[in-house]
Amino acid sequence: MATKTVYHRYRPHQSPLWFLSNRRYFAFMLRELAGLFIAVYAILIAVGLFAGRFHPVLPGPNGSIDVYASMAWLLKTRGFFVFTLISLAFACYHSLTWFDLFPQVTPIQIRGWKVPNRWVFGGMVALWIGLSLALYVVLYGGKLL
Amino acid sequence: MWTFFSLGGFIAALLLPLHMVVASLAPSPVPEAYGIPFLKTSFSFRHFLYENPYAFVLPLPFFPVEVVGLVLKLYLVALLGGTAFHGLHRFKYTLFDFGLRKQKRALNVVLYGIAFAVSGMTFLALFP
Repeated sequence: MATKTVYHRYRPHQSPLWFLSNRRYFAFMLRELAGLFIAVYAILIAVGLFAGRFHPVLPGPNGSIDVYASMAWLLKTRGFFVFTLISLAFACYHSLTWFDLFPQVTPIQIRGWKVPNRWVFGGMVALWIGLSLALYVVLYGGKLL
Repeated sequence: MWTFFSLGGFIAALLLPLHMVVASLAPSPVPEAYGIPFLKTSFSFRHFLYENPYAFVLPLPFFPVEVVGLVLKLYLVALLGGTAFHGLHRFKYTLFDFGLRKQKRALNVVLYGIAFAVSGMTFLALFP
């Protein structure tokens, strides 16, 4: 008597919460999530600039609303302050993980000698801090001391 | 798209944290004198040069206000556009990881569309 073999199609299954199973996966997802925060921050600022440029004054319930003044006020509200703090933490995490990743993606070689990854990471962090301080003084008109 | 993402990644990594601190968290925000409102309320170029001896080491403050303003505007377009491209590109792959891989085409249109819109809006808002 011949037996009939039944084949079941293999269906890969992945839980939507797969990244909770391992710390490294979680760190990876956290880094991906940082992208959303920094994008939302950029979108909010861009929308505020655009709205203020083309509709400086909008009609409101108690007279007209100055859009730029409203944006300035919004940036100072407690909710937005907390959102920016969280976004800042995510942005810093995103930056540092990128600096860590950079020498692995594009190894730097000088005459056949590979620059150690830690040196590249340190260099990137130094560049980051230096550039931030320079821009703080030049573009934002800040004081160092 | 990958070029925008990569360039945006560099811009976002190096410039965004400072921008967040200065423009949104610090008590006195960014230059209005350069024609960029709501980012700084009181700013005087001459006062800045007088007050800030470190600025003399760097060449940019010696240029006229219009030139510095132009640089600042280009900087803001690159910062906001680059950040939007980078952030939304990463977010696309987050959605892939949550199982939306089949909707790739729709996600491309929506997310990169938003990133193009952010860049365009910033450009139009700052360059009349």
